[in-house]
Amino acid sequence: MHCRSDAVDTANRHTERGMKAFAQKGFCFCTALFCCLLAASATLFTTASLSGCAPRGAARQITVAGSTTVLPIAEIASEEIQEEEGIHALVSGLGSSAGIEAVMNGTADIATSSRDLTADEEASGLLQKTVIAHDGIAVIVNPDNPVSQLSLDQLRGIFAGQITKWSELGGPDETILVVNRDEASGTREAFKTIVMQGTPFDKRAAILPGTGQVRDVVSRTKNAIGYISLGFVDSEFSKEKVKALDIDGVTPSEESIQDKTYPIARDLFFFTRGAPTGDAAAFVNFVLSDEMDATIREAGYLPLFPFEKEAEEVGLL
Amino acid sequence: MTKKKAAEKTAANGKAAPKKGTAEQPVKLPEKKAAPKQPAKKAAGQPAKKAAKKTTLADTVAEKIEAAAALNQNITPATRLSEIEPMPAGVHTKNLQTLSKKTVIKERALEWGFLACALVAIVAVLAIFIFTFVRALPVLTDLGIARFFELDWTPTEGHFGITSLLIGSLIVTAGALVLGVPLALGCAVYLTEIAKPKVSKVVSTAVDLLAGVPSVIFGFFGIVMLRPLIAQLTGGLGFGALTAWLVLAIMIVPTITTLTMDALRSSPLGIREASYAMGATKWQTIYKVVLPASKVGIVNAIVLGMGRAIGETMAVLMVVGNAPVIPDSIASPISTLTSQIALDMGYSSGLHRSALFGMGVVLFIISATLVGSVRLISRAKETRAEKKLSKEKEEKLASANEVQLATIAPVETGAKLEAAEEAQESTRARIKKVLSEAKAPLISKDVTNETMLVVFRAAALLATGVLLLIILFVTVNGLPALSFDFIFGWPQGVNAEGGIWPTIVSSLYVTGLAMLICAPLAILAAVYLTEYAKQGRLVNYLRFATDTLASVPSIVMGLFGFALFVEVFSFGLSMLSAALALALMMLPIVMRTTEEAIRAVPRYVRWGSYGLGATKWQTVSKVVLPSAFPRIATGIVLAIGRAVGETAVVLYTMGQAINLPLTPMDSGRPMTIHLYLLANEGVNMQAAYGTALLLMIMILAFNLFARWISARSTKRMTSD
Repeated sequence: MHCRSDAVDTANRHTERGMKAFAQKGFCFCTALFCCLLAASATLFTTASLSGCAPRGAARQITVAGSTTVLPIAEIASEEIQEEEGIHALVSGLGSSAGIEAVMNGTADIATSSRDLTADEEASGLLQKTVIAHDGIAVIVNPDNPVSQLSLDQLRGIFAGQITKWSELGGPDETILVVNRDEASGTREAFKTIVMQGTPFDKRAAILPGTGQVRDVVSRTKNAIGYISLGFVDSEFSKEKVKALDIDGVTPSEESIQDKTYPIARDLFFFTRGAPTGDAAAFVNFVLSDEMDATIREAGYLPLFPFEKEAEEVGLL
Repeated sequence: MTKKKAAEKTAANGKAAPKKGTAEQPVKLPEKKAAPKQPAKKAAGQPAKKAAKKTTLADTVAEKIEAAAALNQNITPATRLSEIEPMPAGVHTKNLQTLSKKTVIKERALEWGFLACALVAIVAVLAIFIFTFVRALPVLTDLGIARFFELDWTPTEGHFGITSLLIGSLIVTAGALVLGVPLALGCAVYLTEIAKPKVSKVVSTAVDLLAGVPSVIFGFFGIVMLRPLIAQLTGGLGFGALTAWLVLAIMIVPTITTLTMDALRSSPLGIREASYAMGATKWQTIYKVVLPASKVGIVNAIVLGMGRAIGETMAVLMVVGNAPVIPDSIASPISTLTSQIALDMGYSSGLHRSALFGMGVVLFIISATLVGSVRLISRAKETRAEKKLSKEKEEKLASANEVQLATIAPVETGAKLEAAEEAQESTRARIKKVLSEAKAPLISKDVTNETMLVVFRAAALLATGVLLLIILFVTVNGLPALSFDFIFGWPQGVNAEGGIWPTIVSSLYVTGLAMLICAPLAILAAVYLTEYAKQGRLVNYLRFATDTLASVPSIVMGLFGFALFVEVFSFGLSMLSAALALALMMLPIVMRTTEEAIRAVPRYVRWGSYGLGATKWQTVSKVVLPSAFPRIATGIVLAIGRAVGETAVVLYTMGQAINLPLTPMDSGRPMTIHLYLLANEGVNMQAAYGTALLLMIMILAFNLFARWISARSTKRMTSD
């Protein structure tokens, strides 16, 4: 027991200092704690009140939401218009339908979309449409696949799950692996309208939420088939190649899209609530300007012809 | 009694708990002993300090009262001491009548404040359930429950049957458990029972760190590495249950391993020694003694792993292929509840959106049920142990040993002791039975032992090997992308070339904001639970609520955050909305670590403080919290690491625009979502690898920092 009390004494001497430090630290610590709480609640209140009264976009800010297809164009336009005119455009890609929904309920100023309005959306009469570019949808397969052309009917059969073997299309006796896009995708919407024409998609097909992934999977899987925007068929970032099929005997290309012979083509749109005004109008016109043509091409789409542009441009105030 | 004899006795009785207690005490001794020496200094220092503080507030009246109160404290220390000293740790403000009215009011107010913080957990759980349920009502009333549980999920045609998704979730979870559990158990057994201490320390640290790797990185690994491999093997696309099983199995291994290791370590050493003493081999000891003894802990670990697997969103979303059907084979695409919510949430509206909330409710119920069953299992065991113990006590009451037992076992380790005792009894009976049935085995026990040890080693090697492979894969591919421009630059061009600086800022911003909200709440709530609350029904509810909150799948938390913060509070897609949802996610984690930290502070320290006439709040704020501070900080830093890696919670609460956030109302894109989108776009993979690597480095850095804090504090305590 003796040694124990010795130990206690030494321990006491040591910790006397420690305790004092503790007490001071404790004070700091608790003060800090309460400051944190205060700060947190303060932020909550101020931001709550801010969100209540401050009008959105007061600092030349617009919100652009929608199609992942149009996303690259919108992002570049946003960067450049920020530099040139000081308009800060917040761009996000949630899918065309999400963008249209956002503009309808007022959370976004411009909806970017790779599909036209549905009957319901058209009927609401809220939205103004502006065509900003043309796009062709290429049906892609693995380069090792001997099949190089399909008819629209065959394509429909494949995506509806009625044609399941490549041998039915002149290929090897192997299962067709269908890669579809998610329902938020405007490309899927366009494909559904143009190709499927009311026939439901096969639900067993894999659903991938991105153009790049569809391309990547098809480029590396021998029996896969999918569809992506023509502009992404050749990628500078990927060594793997994909093969775009001829549809109804027409090779997808800029020419065949411009002269409207290639069947699976569509327009890309901006939608605004009523006619675009102010900064939103400036943004729309900027995207339509010749300056953006190169970017639109780079993103894989076709810019409008000059006469089309004239018709689409909005009169600025 | 000689020391040796005593040691033998404790070993033979399996009293590992008291033994453990004595082993820990020397470390904390210095702290405890500090209290008695304190009076002179503290008493003298306090009034002066307080007075100084008060003058700055220019409240002279209050100052006088305060000074008087302080004087009062000094004059009558003896009477006050005698009042407070005999009280146990749970002293309540009721007993403070001798103090001034102001102090009493202050103490009361503080207690109520802490209670309010603690109630946040209950309120949050209820709010999550009610909110998701209310948003799910339209689909239930319009379609009816029967049609909601149909097989057909085709939102475009108005079919919202979730059964195929539910089955998908179950298939994915079951497979992941079948693959992951043996691996994790093998790994845990190897690390606790077989490996050398040094190896065990290194590997278990690694496993701990890996538990922090965010799910989006596992998903990324899944689509880039595993999918092509499985596509080659099966001739399919490589999306489907099989890929999900592999990815999820890897993900749940660290979780189950750490929890199982805790369970194995808490079973007393004595039972192993006893088993060896009877000539059992290592394998026999593990299989027939150690594993059965820690059965409950292991089952709990598996159930929690199951909860993680069923609630996992991002990794699953990226590899299952998202076809809402009953699959033909394990290699064909399927979809799960979580992945379908994440996929559809962005564009859904009307009944479709309501159906997604309905799926959220189903997920919530599943995870709450799992938590509930864990509690039931543990409680069943506790009551069984209690019954047995009380029976034994009656029998032993007559014997003289009883007195000794009571002196050895401190009150606080009672529960542990009972559990140990119970385990002890059952194993003893089991060993006897096994020995009585013994007959000559076909294979010598040594051969079996050798083979099984090799199997365990292989399991550990495989588990750590695969986890290291993932890290290596991300590092090797990501390193070339890392550069100053990449980290501090802005994204440019069509395919997000350039840097990722805004996403880094967004990630840290939202995490910091979440912690600012969560940490004070969690700490004060933990203070209430440990220092103020009486054990009873309220505490039970609180614990159940925090456990449930901890198990809410992150996508459900995201849904809730979207419904409440984004829409109802109209914070919009913003840092604030995301931070609030994240804060709720982190609340139970910080609460639990803080509770443990506070519990680890020895009671002597509190008694010493009360003995000096300190009030409850003074004791808590100046003595308890500061000594628990290093461990609390560790918990917070760990939670930060987890928050940085969260994806599903912020997916639909934060917006996805690339933006440098300034105010909490700004939206932005965190690194995890950036990685997810880059992986989906699949065009600029270089940037994706770079982002993944940077994300992983950041999270590992947070985890290592947390370890450093706790290591430093233990070192300091032992050296003092």
